[in-house]
Amino acid sequence: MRKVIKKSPTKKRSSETENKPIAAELSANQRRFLQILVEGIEGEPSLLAGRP
Amino acid sequence: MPRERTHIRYQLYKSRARNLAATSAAQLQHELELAGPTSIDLSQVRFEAINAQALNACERWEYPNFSWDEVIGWKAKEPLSLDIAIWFDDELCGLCFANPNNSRQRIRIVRLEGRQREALPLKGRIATLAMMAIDRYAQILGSKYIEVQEPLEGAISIYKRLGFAFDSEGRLVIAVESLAL
Repeated sequence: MRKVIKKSPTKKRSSETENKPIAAELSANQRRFLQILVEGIEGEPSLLAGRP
Repeated sequence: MPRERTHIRYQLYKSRARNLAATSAAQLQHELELAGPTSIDLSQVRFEAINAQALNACERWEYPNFSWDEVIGWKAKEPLSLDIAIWFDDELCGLCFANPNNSRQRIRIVRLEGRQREALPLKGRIATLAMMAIDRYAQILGSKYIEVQEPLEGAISIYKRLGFAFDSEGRLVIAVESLAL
């Protein structure tokens, strides 16, 4: 009986996956942060946390 | 104190969180440029540890609120703490220190400060950039919440815009979404 050698399936690269926008891989928080990063926050104080 | 191997693992977690935040900022810049001309420049944003270079740069700040040298001692005592220096090219724009509790379920933002300068390159973006790195770190550690330890009155609206809300115990928190990295 001949031995059957199984070949591993060739992995197909998906250009669709490579090119998908980063937002698809991010959590809702991270998507919100990026949106706010684009807009910027008017009047952001220099001191944001902690007591001097 | 954790063993050396554990300590190195923690350093890798922090480095990964900072790198993920930097990658997100760089990809965002790329997408903005693809969409057309943009006035936003995130191309030279860097997330680093608070090291000697950051402390030297901080000494040149006009009106620092804290003595950030103290953080070096805190880092040694709290090996899981996350320290972030936010740079734009060679200008230090912000500093942050956050620390998980013992169970790692909650990460507290202990200090967060941006440089007070009118023409600061990342003006209005320091809290957001810091949150990008802290949220990534929280995901890596498996934390459930990020909390602002001592929110200042003038900064609460900024945290709310970022998604924070007061919980039933009066703590300003945001839930961390678990995500396979």
